[in-house]
Amino acid sequence: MAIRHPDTIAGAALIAAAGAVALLSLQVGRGPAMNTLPANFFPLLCAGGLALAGAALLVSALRSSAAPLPRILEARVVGVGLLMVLYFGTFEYMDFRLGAWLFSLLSMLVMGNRSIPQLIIVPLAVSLGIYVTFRHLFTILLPVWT
Amino acid sequence: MDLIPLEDLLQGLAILTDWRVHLFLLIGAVVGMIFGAAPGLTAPAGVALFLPLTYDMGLDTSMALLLGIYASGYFAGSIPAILINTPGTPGNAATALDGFEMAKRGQGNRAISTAVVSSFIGGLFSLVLLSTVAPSLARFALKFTSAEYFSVALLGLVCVAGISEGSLAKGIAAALIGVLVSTVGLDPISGVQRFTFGEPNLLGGIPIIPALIGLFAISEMLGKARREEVHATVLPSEEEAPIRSVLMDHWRNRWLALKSAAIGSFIGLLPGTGPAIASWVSYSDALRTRKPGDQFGKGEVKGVISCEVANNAVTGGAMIPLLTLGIPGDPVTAILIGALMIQGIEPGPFFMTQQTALFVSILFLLFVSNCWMVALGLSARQLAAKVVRIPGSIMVPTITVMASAGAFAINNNPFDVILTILFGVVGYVLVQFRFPIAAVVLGIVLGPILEQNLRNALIGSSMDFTVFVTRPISAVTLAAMVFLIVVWTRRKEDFGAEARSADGR
Repeated sequence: MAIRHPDTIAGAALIAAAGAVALLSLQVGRGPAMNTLPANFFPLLCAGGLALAGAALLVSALRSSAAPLPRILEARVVGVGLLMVLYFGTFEYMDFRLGAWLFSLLSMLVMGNRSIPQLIIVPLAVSLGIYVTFRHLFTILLPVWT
Repeated sequence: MDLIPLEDLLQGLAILTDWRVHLFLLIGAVVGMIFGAAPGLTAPAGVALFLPLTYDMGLDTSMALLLGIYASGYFAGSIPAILINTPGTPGNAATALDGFEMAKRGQGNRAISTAVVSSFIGGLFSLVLLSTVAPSLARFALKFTSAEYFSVALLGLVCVAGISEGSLAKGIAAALIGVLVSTVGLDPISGVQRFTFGEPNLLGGIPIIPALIGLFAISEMLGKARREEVHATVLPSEEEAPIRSVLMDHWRNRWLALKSAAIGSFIGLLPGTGPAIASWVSYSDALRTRKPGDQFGKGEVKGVISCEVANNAVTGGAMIPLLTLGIPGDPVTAILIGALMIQGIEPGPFFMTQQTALFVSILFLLFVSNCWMVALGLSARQLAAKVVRIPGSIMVPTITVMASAGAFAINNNPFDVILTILFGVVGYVLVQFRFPIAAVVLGIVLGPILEQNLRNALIGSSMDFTVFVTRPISAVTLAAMVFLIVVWTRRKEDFGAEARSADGR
């Protein structure tokens, strides 16, 4: 019986998600009476399907031998992921040119790039290149401080 | 077979007189080449990232850009597959088997030229199929009611789940996650809120483009942030491969190319499939019918031909269900639905009868896209090979910043940017646990089609569930679906038994 298996975790997570979706679906209002399926029918059906798929994964994983778990939280992924969350989360408040430059510079550093010319040129080229393309070539507005 | 009226043909052909169309076809082909060739980027990611830019463009130029990315992106994944044994897209994984072996023998140039010509043949074959089959199928689809649409969409969902690599359960779960995402927002029939959590931005549902950008681009960039593997293989110096000898290779293997093109187009035709399955099925078939002396897996040119012809034959095939039924054939056509809707065009059976000239334009755009693919593939293959080696530390910030700008640009809504990162993180976790992202995306697109047609069919039949089996087309579709499930389940059981016996268990 392999508790330590990617599919054990995936199966258990699917069953938990199915339970949460089922609970939330039961709270969905019924709306006006109509001669068709209620609004929560499809979400409940999906929850049922997810629970079955999760159970199938869990059972087959428990019956197989242990396997290494995926290294989701590798240091560099966590670093870049946090920078992404910060960059996307503050997107509306930051000047796009500054935010994009800062994100590019920091993510390059986190990913181990130590080339000074690249650290100077790439963030500038990325932020200004994309800004100019969106703003002037396709007339799409991006957040800027005025 | 229904012929296209001459007036519509000429009107559709007129698109090629606009120089901007050619410019955007070229830009699309270059972008597709970069997105296909760079490991970690895919053609669907390219189309999703460039989709927001089409808001401000006309229909002709936007379709030129996206179809250019589509055709070149499917081919260019073969470049890293051949040169560094790392397929640029899942559809080129089978190409690596023989392509990389050829490169190791100093025949990388010949392998890439073969992939270019094979991709062109595949694209051209599927285009002919699209132009001949689609009008008739669209006329036939006019007879479809909600029951048939539900059954075809369900078949598509089962196909995408069934062909998913590794596990049927994971494929089904991924597709259901997508369908579940599509249920967020106001219920279109009763008007009640579902999973909105009091957030007004969710009342209209989850916008598809930020979800696609997150699932395809951000999840890939998070994966790319991992420590890069060092490719230690040093390839020998390249032998020159004259185009004439490459063409002769194709002439010698013309029946294989034709069969691979038919396989690719047919698989593209099935809603919910894509190039990955097409190239593997075609490769398996080439392997099954190999002749004495063929060295599959050791640098056999037939291996590259079978995979690459089938891979690009999917493009035209996948457009058939999109344009005739409004149901995507592969992940890129799932995104192209959004592109058409941005321009106020709804794909489906009426598209073919009411927008025949546009249909013809799409055919010509696909043809010229394939021509650009050949021109770029043959003339700039050395340059394209350099794309393979763009370091992750440059690619990750560039694509991420572009994704953020693209997600914001759709509605000028910062909430879409938040959704993008949310879907990116979810996509990354799903990929790490080997859930197929393409199934999630097709679930998001097929979800509303499934739900609305199921409920409409039941309203029309006064809640009589037998409507799905009493209508002949629906019944045949559902029977085909059951048949496919049985076949896939048995095949996976057989693979499991083989694997266990190989393990000695």
